[in-house]
Amino acid sequence: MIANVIVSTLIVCIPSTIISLIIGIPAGFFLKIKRFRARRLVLRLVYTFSGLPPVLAGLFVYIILSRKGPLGFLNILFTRWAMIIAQVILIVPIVIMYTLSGLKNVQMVLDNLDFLNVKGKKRYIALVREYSKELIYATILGLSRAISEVGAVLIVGGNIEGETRILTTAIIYEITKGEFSSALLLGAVLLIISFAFNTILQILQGDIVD
Amino acid sequence: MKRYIARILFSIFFAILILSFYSYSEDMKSFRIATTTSIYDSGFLDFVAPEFEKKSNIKLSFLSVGSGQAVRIFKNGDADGIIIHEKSFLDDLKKQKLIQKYTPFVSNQFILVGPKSKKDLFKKVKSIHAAFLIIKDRNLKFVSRADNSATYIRELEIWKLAKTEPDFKGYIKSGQGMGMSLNLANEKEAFILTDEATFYKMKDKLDRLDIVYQNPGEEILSNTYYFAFSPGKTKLAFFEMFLKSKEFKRLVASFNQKYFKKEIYRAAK
Repeated sequence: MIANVIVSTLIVCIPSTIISLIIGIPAGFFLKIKRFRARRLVLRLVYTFSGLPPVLAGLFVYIILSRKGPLGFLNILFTRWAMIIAQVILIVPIVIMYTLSGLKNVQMVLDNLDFLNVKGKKRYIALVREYSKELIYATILGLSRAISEVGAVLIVGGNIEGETRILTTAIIYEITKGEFSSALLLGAVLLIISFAFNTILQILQGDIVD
Repeated sequence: MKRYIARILFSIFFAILILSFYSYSEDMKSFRIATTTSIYDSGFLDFVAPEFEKKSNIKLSFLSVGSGQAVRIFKNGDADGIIIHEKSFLDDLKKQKLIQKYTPFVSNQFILVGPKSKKDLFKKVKSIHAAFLIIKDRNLKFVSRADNSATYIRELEIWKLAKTEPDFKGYIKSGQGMGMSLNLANEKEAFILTDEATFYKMKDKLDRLDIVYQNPGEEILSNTYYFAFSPGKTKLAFFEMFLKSKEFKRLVASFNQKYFKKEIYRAAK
């Protein structure tokens, strides 16, 4: 049973982090270098949404995906897919925020690349190399939020055993039943997984920096 | 630049495709049933469902939520079936033609539990509302679920029967599920209305509480669970049939034996 829960946790949290990075990093990069009219407003929105209460994100996704909602025809409420959508909404602003603060001296780096006439594919590779440390930080932050979040996934996932029950929702469930010892056990598993992820990412980071 | 963007878009699209196939292939086959927490949390549904699945090849998945939320989910069409223990909710659904009928399949009782030290106060009590009146008159602590649950609705009915309002100082509104509320009552040494199955399931953790009043004959304390499904989901009629079968009665008996060592759940006749 616990194996099921762990598998579900990974199946939800890893894709939601990857999707958030795919959306958040380019968006952060864009906001960092481009100057446009509504930029300040967009930044303010990003900061606001990075503190979005998960239950509110959950309620929002729930209403949208409910069969009576605008995307009801997709029929994905109470599936892992719905949980991923809710988590992406929560993680993207965090990734954007971190990308914004992590891209120090980006204009200088870009000017240097122009000067060296690095173009096309190589330019992106050079940028990713330059900021690999920051990108990994963003990954760690995103993954931590994904794996520890409970309010949103409980609402949109429904905590169905073997499908949408992940570690955090299983902990809540055990607590409501008064089974504190099982809840603690699940909590320990959660911490171990989180620790393993961080270790892997830190090793990766060390490799790149050295 | 364009090629780069195209590649990103392609990978996003691809990821979405894989993921959606993943969740579809798994969820399309199963029927979703919104259920009230008490009967799910006792482990009863997870005990019964695999037997039904083996026989019928129909997969069921349960959404364990409060009765109020279960009705809401069912009304929105986000669940195919519903299991609750509040008849008035089902009558509403029937009126709105969202269900054709509902089937009682299992029952237990509501009981009043409270601190062991105060058990003697209720020795001569003849009815549940008289017991409630004693709690109010002596301003003892009482934990109320105060949510939209069937247990809470029943509690309010009992206060009504006692012709009084629960407006005393010791009245605590927990706003939480049965399990958490029982824990709260245990910590605060308070009285609480609960169903027998949940209480026995948690009994070893509730060291300060004991049953202070129970009466199997009292109509207002009977706690019957009903199953209903939306008319479009005809396959769920098999589950309804299963719930009336002899085999189901046998499962109820073995569940009682395994977890309670006495008859708590009774299959409906």
